[in-house]
Amino acid sequence: MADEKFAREYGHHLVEEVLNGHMTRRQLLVRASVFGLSATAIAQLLAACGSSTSSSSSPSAAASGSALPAVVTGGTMKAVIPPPLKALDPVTIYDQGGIVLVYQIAEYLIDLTNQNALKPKLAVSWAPNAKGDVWTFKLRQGVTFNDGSPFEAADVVASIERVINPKSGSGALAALAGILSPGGTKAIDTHTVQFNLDKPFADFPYLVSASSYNTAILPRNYAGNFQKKAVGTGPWMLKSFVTNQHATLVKNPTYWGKDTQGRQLPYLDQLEFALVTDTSAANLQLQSGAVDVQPQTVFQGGASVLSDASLRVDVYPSTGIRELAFNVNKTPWQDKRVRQAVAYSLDRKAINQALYGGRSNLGYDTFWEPTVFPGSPTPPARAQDYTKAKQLLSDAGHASGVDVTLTVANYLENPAFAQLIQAQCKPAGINVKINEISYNAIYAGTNTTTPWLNAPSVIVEWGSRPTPGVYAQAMLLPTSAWSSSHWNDKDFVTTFNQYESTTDEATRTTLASKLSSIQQDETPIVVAFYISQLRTQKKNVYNIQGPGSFYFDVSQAYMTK
Amino acid sequence: MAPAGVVDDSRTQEMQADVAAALEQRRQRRYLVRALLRSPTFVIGVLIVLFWVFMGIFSTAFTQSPLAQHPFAILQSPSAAHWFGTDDLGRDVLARTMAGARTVLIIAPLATLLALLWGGIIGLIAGFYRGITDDIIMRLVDVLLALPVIITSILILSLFGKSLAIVIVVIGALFTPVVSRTIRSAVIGEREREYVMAARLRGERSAFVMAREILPNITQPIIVEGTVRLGYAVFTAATLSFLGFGLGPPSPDWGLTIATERVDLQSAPWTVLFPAFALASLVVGVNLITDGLSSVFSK
Repeated sequence: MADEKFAREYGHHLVEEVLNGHMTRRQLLVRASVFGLSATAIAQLLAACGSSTSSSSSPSAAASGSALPAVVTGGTMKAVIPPPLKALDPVTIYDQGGIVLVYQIAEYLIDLTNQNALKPKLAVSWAPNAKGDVWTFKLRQGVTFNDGSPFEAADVVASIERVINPKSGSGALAALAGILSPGGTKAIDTHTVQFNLDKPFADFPYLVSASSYNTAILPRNYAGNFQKKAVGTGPWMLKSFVTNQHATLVKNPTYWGKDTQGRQLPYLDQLEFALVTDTSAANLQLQSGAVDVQPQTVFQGGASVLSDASLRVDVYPSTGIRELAFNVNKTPWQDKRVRQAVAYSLDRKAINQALYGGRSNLGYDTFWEPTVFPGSPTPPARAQDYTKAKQLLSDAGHASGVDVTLTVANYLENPAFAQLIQAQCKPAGINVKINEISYNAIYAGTNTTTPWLNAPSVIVEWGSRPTPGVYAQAMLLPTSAWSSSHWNDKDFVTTFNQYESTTDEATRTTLASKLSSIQQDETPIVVAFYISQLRTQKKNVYNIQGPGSFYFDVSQAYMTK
Repeated sequence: MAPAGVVDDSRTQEMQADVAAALEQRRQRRYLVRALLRSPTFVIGVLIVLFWVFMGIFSTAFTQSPLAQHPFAILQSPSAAHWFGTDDLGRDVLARTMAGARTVLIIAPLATLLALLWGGIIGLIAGFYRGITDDIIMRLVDVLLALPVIITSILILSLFGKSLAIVIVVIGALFTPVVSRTIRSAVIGEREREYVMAARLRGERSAFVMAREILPNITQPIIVEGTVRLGYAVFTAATLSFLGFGLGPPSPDWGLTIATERVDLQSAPWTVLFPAFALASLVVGVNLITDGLSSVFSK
């Protein structure tokens, strides 16, 4: 079969790249997973590279610095998360509360490892054709939805077609725009699905993985009433959901998943989520022992939790960012020198220290950042340089300074970030007026009216994305539905299309360097840091998996006495 | 024509009466001032308010900048370098607490003056004319009094934006009904008095009678009402800031500071407690002035 031949050749290509020093082993792991190479094949590749690297590890074990204790089955784990901001619907969820809850009940074709590599879930294998514009997925057999109906290719076709329907209002629309059109998803047989893409796209598996959280696989007859009838193939079933208060989930007795020793998953009997908006209240629930785990502990206001000796904190070097976007259609941001002046005004280390206690990775206004996306070219660092910033402003015709307005939601650390930007830009002559509005207000309206896509400059919070390409696809192309900058650079678009259509790693590396240079030079957005996320739990909680706060995999978690 | 001597006697008597009245007024004023200065309640209240007025105007001359950030020294506990500690951006809490008085001391007095102006006019008209004019005005006032101040403020600020001027106008407008009721009651007590009847008999216009005859004689209840409203205005302004309807960051405004720093209450209580104490002290100071005035005026 042509796909198998491709996978074999691609595997050999990856080994050569590692041996020639063009790739790291971690990068090989990630790239091999994208092309659907099996765990056995990946292990063989790593062996060929002289490595014994494990494909996954438990952050809990890593954090505790010890081996996991024996598994204890049964019991109830209690977690505190923010309430979903909209009705619980996998097709339209976009916030932490909604994503965490859906992730327990419904599953994706592909899941993410703790290192953001892909791992099989409802799809057991996947591979592209030689051109990279047709991807074939083999589905897991013997899986049923929790209502007893069998999981088949027709469910996958219906789920994907549903989210790329322009009327769906799904966030997946933005991720898949220009890549997969309605009618492009076909069932080859009951357990094989083929995606016929609009163009070759090397990172396509990520777009139908858990990282594209609206692509959860639902029954073919799903009618949009998930909150009342939550049908999925996941390890948990929704027992009760009270808006803004709590959700209770019980184990799915017919779940297909088993651990390496053949034990039925999940280990726990029940999950209880307290839905709490207020960060302080959530922290207090954890510290008082009312809940066992907080999937995301916010650094701002979390000092008491983070220093609590009775709790264990796992740090995840996630790829989430706070995007500072400049709307290039609005004054003064049409001129890239003004955008660059802002970038050179920022003291990124100081921002990282103030917002995250220095835990996050610094960013330099490009998505190809090797500290979070291994194998990416190293971009030139951008240190605070007021002389350069003033010169850029002067060259742009703003020698006496420029007044700008920055819109920001009163949410998480965003207002503090805005104040840091304001204070650090002032000496350069950039007078930032902060327009602080509510979280609901910043995302209200249509694409042509909503502040987050139409304000002159805005801070937008982005959860983890698995690759630089997925980020760029979502916000840096003219086709991107979530472009707050409205940047349209032909050179970048052409290069990006070449980058996503090739599987040759050396070519991809060269193109990545070019993309990174263009993005940094043009500075349509400032990426000052990649946020490290904090997960806090009691010390008797073990083996929670998943990268970052959205992918809260407790199917193999357990609690000792 | 009356003999010259009679006219002179009459004028002399009038002048003597005027002089006596002026002297009496002066004596009463002196008595009030002395009584107020002897009232510990009033004096302490004035000192507290003056302290915050002084800090609001001059504090930046002898504290650090309330906006200066020190990202590598966030949430530091009180020390010799930072008497009140630092906040989540490493700003000096002492400097921010002192400078935070400025906003509330602009909003609250101006809003109170607006309420006294509008409430005074409405109360004078209703109390002076009585009858159907009074009935209509007072029923409208009853309707306005039924509106909850904070919720109505939020509604109006949501519609018209949240600039300082709008906040002042909104608070002033929402305090107008209660002020008008107080002033109406005072006017009703005065309108049947002889000096008002005399003015009417002289043929003075109603506006003149209200402004020049009645108003000077109801200054005491107006002053007391003004100080009461001032206390409420301080609290309302801080509440609106707390709810996000006042000034935005990085203003050191107390309500805003309490709202933004409360997430750190557990680990860095100084970031919230000092501005909260400052706010409380200003309200207490205004209330002490009110109590002092009330007790002196009622003697």
